[in-house]
Amino acid sequence: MNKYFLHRSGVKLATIVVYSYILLLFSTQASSRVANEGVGDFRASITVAVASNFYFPLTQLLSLSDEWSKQNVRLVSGSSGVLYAQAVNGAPFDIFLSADAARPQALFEKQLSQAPISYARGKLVLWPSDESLSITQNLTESRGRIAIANPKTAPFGAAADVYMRAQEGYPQWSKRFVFGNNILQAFQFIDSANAAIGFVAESTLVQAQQKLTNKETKYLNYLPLPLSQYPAIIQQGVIIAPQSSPQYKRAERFMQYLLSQTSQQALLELGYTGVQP
Amino acid sequence: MTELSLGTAELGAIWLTLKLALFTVIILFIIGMPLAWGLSRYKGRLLPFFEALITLPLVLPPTVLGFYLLIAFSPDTWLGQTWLSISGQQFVFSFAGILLGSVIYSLPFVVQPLLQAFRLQGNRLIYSAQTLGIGRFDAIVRILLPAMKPSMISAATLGFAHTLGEFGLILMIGGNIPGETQVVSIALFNQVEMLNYQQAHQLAGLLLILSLGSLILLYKFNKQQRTRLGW
Repeated sequence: MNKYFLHRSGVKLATIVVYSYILLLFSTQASSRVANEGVGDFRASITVAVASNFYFPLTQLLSLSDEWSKQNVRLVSGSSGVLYAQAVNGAPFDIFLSADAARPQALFEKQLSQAPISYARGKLVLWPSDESLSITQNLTESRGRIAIANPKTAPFGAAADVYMRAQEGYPQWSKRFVFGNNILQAFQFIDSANAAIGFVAESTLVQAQQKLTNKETKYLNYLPLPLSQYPAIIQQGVIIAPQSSPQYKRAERFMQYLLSQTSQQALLELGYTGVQP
Repeated sequence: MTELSLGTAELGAIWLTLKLALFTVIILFIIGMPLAWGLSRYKGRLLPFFEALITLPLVLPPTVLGFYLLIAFSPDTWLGQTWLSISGQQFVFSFAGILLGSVIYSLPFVVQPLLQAFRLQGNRLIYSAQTLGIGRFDAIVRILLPAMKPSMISAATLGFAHTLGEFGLILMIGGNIPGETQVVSIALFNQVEMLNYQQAHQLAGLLLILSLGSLILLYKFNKQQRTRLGW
């Protein structure tokens, strides 16, 4: 009986340990989504690793294009830092669209990619806001937490931090900060009413508004920050596919489309500022 | 080997993680012992349901739990309001918040070993003791609990080690506040995001050593228990 029990509890214990490791593994995985645009060619024509804040805009841009909407473009979305680490370790990406400029630059310096290309500029807004008040008044009169993206890891967070440090109210506000892992999480904290107000990307609000089924105006009440008062949030991308590979030409065309007037115009509607003159 | 040079933020995160794991285990024992005892004696039709409920956090992605907690304890809801009026603090973004999350998340790791022990030994030992004229209370405290010691150590260690490794849940409801909700796994993730791979290595190594160490201690100690009892 005792031997039986021991055996059983040993197996049980081993099972639990194995489960816990599997869970741990799963929980640390970056969320990655795969979008299959179009049918026809079963194989993906190109694999694009895209920072999660640009995932939705990119799908919109792809659907606008005759050429790309028909192709099987595989999108892998995640945080820029995680995608960068995966790219360095040989993930099969042809293009990496980062939310910042530092990581593409780092890839280039490691000679793992072509030179970085700026493809969009992010816009920071205070949300939700009373439009009859100033940004400072909105912040001071709000009660509860102020959500921003983590300034240490997210470009939008760093920009929000620079902006607020220049304001008189900063010492008071900083006590109320709560940090989202990225700009989407900062948005989520406010959207679920756990934070009262915060700095989010205009593109996130555009995305949220488009997905609304009813006629709410919740996502329209925001104040854009003056572009001159925070460091430009330049998003850069790099071609990772080696020049000798069959994907290289397609990757080049993809980047050309991203910088085309069609794309850059569309980005204005999606909450970004274009980067091309 | 990298040189060990952890900053104050990292040390704060380590302290916070240990505190969280310890509190989680203590609370889970207070809840888990009567729960496992009750469940081991329950023979009703709802047994599979209760068992499934207790095992659920084992298979559920932590993000599911985090998402529901985030929604349920929003200050807009009655639950969030109630919490706010009782504790004077918002649930999400607080230590109490991640503690409750951890308690749910690590529940099966503590309750399962206890439940198994109660099932296999509980009645048998108590009935044997009673035939020898030992009172019920004495039988539980002086015979059953000592006999269950290996299972209790398993439960405590697994609960502790599992809480150390918690990530997805705290990422969702923690808000990354140093000293309050920024645990080691989150600090580690931040370092990776900042491309500080050396600091990331140190924290990852620390978690690995802590987790492996506690499991080795568990198996070593439990083996000694068995040999001493002549199993």
